[in-house]
Amino acid sequence: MVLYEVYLTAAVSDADAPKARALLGGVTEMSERHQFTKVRYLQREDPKPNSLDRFKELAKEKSPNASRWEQLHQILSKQSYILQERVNITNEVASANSGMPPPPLSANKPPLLKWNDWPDPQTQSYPAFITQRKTIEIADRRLNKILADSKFGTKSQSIEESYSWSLKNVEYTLTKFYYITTADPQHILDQTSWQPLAPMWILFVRLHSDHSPERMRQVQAQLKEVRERFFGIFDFRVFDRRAQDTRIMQPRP
Amino acid sequence: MSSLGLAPDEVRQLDVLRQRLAQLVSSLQSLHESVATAQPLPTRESLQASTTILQRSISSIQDLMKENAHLFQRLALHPSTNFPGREHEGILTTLLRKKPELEMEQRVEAAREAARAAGVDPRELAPARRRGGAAARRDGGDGGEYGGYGDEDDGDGVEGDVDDDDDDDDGGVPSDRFNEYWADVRHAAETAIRKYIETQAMDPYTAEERRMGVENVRTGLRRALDEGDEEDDEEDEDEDEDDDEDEDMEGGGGQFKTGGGGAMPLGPEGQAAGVGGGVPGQGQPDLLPDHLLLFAARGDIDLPANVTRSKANAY
Repeated sequence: MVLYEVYLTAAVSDADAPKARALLGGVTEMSERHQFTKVRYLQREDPKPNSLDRFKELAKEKSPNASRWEQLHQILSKQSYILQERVNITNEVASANSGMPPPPLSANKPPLLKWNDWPDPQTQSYPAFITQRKTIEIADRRLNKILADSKFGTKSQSIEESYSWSLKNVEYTLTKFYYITTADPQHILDQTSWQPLAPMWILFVRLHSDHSPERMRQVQAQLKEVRERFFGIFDFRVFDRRAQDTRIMQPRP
Repeated sequence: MSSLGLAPDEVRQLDVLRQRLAQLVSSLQSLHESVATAQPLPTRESLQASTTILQRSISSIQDLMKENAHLFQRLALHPSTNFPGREHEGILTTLLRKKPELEMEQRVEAAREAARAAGVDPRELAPARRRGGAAARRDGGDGGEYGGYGDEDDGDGVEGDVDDDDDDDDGGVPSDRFNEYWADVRHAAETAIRKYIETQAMDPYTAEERRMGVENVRTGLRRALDEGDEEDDEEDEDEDEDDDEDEDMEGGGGQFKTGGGGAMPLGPEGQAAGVGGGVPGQGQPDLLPDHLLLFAARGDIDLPANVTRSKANAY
């Protein structure tokens, strides 16, 4: 069963971010959850979608992830994509800030493998400011090894800083992206080595859905309501889906 | 009941009051129980519902008091001649007691202290009741001349009957030593409102703006407010250009004008000049949200030229 991410996107300038946070906190009546995530973008050297034996093996294991490994295996067999390995480093950053020696990264936390398809093409059935895409998330402690075995190499790394809230299953996340300017893993947690990509945050308003048309319609209706509610405050606009294309296209012969 | 000298209608009002007070007591009890039994606390919704119920009970009691103020004020309670006063003296004094119990009075005082510490004016907490005939009008109901609350010796030259405690009736009309002050405040507010409606509402500029010179006012509107003031239009045009902050985008995403209702200005758009470079370099200030989305998806900002850049919505 495929999972869909359905979301709205808006940009919020640095100057407006504190206001946005206060507003979202008030609207959702909850305190913000502040997180840092280290993201590693992965691609295989050989862009040809060869079958991934390791994934196939994992799909046979008796684990809750088995079906997801199977799905991912099938998808990657047909088309190469850029994947993401995501690690929550909030605690590590906090201890680094407080001067304590940081625990080694990903010591007790299974990193998350995330695959996003490129967004569905716009259709008449839902407004263009809604983006929907298939997604698969797999948390597995052995991820590093699995990816290395399957010949996934690091393309780039980044840090995402996010504030999130939720209301009625709708997740509001205000995210900022940073380059990591140091290759030294010791210093990755040093915030001064982070370089923001741009002086702005991206607000994602997200829901998950399965592929059933009824649930999709429900989710789309909810997002439409959210957009109306924030009309004049957040500009949830239309983005070309090619700006979020995760596919690796094969070079033409 | 004829010995009471009360009309049956009046007895009914007393009964209604009794019932509403009983309702209030039972709501309080059920709230007390639910707080005691729920682990760790009742849900927010149930607390809110309880609060609403209590507020409604209290306000219905207040309404009843207001309607029957004339009745309750003139009621006087006395034991009937066949009441066994000697045997049940304790109950008798409890029933006839008018002053609040010491503990209650202390709690009320503590609550008022807390309110004052929090910056809430304790005068506003007391029920606002106008005592007809005792309202002495003064200029301006100015808060400055009133002594601190709790001042037994109101040395501020208040005319009329301030010490209301003795006048507490068994009907329980809540009295307040600041009733006269409330009357003054109301009078002042009415005067100010009248003045505003008659004169100030028509005027498109405030007094301060007029002093500053009407031409200097940045209204953010394209049209002139006063008799066709040309300078306003030009000023507005210039402001729009200044406010746009390098808005030269493909497809022209506009900045949001705050003149018409204070929409929060949104994401800064940068110059559209094709930003390339697969490898992230130093933070580039001219990236669009589209670049960030690409980065989120792929880890680079190499936005192909054929991708349509997003446009700001025209609000």
